[in-house]
Parts: sequence; C-alpha cells; structure tokens
Amino acid sequence: MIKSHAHLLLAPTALLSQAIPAGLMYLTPQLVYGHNPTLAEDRLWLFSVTWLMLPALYGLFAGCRASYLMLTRSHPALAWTMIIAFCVPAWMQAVFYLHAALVFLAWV
Amino acid sequence: MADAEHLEQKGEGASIRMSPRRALAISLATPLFLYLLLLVMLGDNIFPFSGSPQGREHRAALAIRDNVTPFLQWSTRLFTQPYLQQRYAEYWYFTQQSEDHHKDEFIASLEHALAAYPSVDLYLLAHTNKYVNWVETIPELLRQRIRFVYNTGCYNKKQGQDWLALGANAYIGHPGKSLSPFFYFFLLRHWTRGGTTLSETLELGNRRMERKFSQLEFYTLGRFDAARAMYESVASLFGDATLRMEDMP
Repeated sequence: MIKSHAHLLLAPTALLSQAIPAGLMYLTPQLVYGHNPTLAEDRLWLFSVTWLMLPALYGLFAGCRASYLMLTRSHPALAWTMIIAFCVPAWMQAVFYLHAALVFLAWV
Repeated sequence: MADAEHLEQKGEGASIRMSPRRALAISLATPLFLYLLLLVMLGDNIFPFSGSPQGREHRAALAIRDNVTPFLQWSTRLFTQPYLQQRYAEYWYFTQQSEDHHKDEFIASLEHALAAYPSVDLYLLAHTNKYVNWVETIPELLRQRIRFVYNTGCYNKKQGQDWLALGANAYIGHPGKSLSPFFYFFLLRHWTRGGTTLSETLELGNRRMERKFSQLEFYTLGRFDAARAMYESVASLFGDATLRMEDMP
C-alpha cells in the first residue's frame, strides 16, 4: 500500500528540499560575517555554490520524476493537484537557485 | 493497491492515464519553460561559458566591500569573486568590518598590483566612501596604471575628476542616494566579458536598471518611484569612454 503510493511523496520532498538554500542563505552570512565567524571567508564561495546547486538539481529531478510518475500512475485530478501544489513551486525555486549558482560560477 | 491498478480494475485506468511519452514531455518541458520565464523576468543576456577576454595576464583587480549586513557582504562576494577570478590574472577582495578596516592591506595589495600589472581595475562596493584618499598615498607613477574605477557609493559621482587626476583612465559613479546594485549586476557581467566599450556598458546598465525600476514600480502599485530612483542612481562615466576590458591603456 505504502509502496504503491510512494511516488506521491516525491513531490513534497522536491518542494521541501528548496527550503535548504533558503535556510542556508540566512545562516551562511552569519557563519562568515557574523559576530562569531566560524566559516573561513575563502571557503564561502564553494560552500555557498554547492548548497545552492545540489538542492536545485534535486528539486528539478525529483519534481520531474514525481510529475511523470503521477501523470502515468495516478488519477489525473490527483496528479494535476499534486503537480500544481508541489512540483511547480519546487521547480520555480529550483530554477531560481540553479540560475543563481550558474551566475555565481560565471558560467552563464 | 496502486491508483492505476485500482482504476484499471474499474475499467477506467487505460483511458484516463496519460501516455508515458506525453507525461515525460510535460514533466521536462514545464521546468524548462519556467527557467526561460525566469530569464525573461531577469532581463539580462546569458553568456554560456564565455571565458575571459584576451589579455587576462596583463590585468588585475581589487574589490572592497564596506561594513554592511552579513547577507549583503556575503552576496556581494558570491557574485563578484567568480568574475574577478575568471577575468583577471590576480585579484584581491576585502570585506570591511569597520571604516578603516583593511586599509593597510588594501593599499599594500594595490601597490603590489600596480607594480606587477599594466592595468588594474578597482571595484569600490561601498556606501558613500573616500577610498580616493587611501589611493592618494600611492606613488604617482604607479597610480598611472589604474585603468578603471567603479564606485557604487551614493553621491560619489563627484569623485570622478579626483580619480582621473590621480591617474585612473575611467571612472563610473552614481549621483545621489542610489540603488547601484541594480547597475552593478549588469556592469560586472557585461564589462568583464569584454567586447563592449565602457560607454556601451554604461548605457546598457542604465537602461536595464531603469527597466528593473519600472517593474518594481509596477509590482508595488506605484509605491516605488522609478523616475526618482533613476534620477538618484543613473550612472555617469568620466574619462576614456572607448575603453574595453581587453584594452591595455
């Protein structure tokens, strides 16, 4: 039962993963430039780009997989509701973080 | 039981489930469309793997960020560092925690850069500032190698002639209480990519900054005054308007 509905959980995880860059975007500046710096300034760039890029890629991949599985396995009403509620917001945030990471890599 | 199996048992599944090919197309095309939409909204070109313009080995850069919130210090460095790293042979980046923080290191690094490279660019990423006084202490012969100075500081347009008198070839500054980060985003990306003159970059940066202000005015239902922001922020160029990133004055 749980296994057969497992693909429905993928969409919320795609969206939840996008909270990671948002949270670290708040924490990282404090770690580097706050009152008690614990992260060296020369590691800031690699650290920041990594945590922007990985959740973004996961969000895109998980969103796409969730969307595909729901469209092919679930009732259309359920599939489209889940896609609009979870996949689209996850994709919107993921492409934003992905583009930011690409800009910070000077790749685009 | 899976939803689809349940539907199939009822004899409905095959007719309402989407074909794998169509589902795949929708699942891939939607995020791609959203990415394209984001690019349109950002309103800037993309330069995939554009690399560095020629003459990288002949130029160096220094950037300094003043004592602002940790978030602004972090985001400025995150954005600036890769462009300096990729497009200059050597660069130095300073983040201040107080007004004269890193003064000695900045001057020493600038002297080193000016002695080692024929062209040195300065990015003064700070609120209203007087870094021009720091640079005055450097020997005149070395100062002649300062190529371009960009100053984000409010009311620092008036320093243009001072920087040229010190030896810089070109200077860009803002006249009033500016929203210079909007301009800086375009300036750094386009100027360091090479191929365009400073005057072309200036025009592009001002035009796109104005477009961003207009969008902000629209989104805030007029609470943000785009015309006023533009009046305070419009960047001006002093000195050699034909200078390009790859040039060596």
